[in-house]
Amino acid sequence: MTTKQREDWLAQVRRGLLELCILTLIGQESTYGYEIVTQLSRTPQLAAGEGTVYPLLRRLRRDGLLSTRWKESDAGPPRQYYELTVAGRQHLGALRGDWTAIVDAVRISLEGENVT
Amino acid sequence: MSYQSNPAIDRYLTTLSRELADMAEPERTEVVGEIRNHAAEAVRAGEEPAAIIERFGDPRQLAGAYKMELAVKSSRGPLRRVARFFAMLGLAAITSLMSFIVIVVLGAFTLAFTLGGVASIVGGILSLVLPGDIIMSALPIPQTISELLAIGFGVLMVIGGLVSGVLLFFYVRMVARAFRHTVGSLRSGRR
Repeated sequence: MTTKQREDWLAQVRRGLLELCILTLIGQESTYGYEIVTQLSRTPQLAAGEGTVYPLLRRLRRDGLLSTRWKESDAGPPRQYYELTVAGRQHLGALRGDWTAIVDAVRISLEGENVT
Repeated sequence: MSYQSNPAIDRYLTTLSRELADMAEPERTEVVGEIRNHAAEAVRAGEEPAAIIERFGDPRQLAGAYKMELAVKSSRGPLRRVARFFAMLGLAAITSLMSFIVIVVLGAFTLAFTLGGVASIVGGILSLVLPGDIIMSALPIPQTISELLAIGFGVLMVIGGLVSGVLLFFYVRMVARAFRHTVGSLRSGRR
């Protein structure tokens, strides 16, 4: 029961953070799905598998934060490269600010608990 | 290194594409193309097709994840649901009338032809083997020929009966699939 609650909590926390991580990755350089999934698999704490990353990429694109373009690949079928749009770059900047503020706030509240 | 498609991966992509039937083009093609590229890149990196497919997860679940993620911003949900409902209603109206005729006719054919054919074959053989004539020929032809004719027609009837049976089976399966598909999209549209 506690494991289930912990998993639910983790899933909720990761949900929003994954968006921030993906936007950051794409902001560094234009990249494609397989590369994004491989990069994210190096941080298993995010638990970002194919089944979460790809649908999220489509949503970010539909929201106008990402643009796509097809490019040839040696592997056979073409790759779909993602890039931040102007709106995407602004959104990422805002999220980073929010994230820093949240981390600070959480740290203060956790430390406060320790003191008392 | 040239790209070779893998049957298991192709099958996965076909199922995924079918499960994404609700998604508008060209998005659906792009989504499937993106997953196809991922599989190819992973194969090239030396991964086993079975392991790649396992990480994608059940195609129905993956399609569901797309729908859930994209439904967040979809405003035409309720209208679509109404449209689906009428599609279902139409399907039910058409197929129920058709099914009544098709099932009754094909069912009767299957039963009558198979049983009649078997009876004719058995009768013909018995009449041929046993002493005395079981089959009374109404035609001015020799007894043996009319017995052979009975066996021959019997075989044709059984074949006819079995063909009707197979047709009936395919019809029922087709209708069941059409219903499952429409009901399925009705359900997923409700999210």
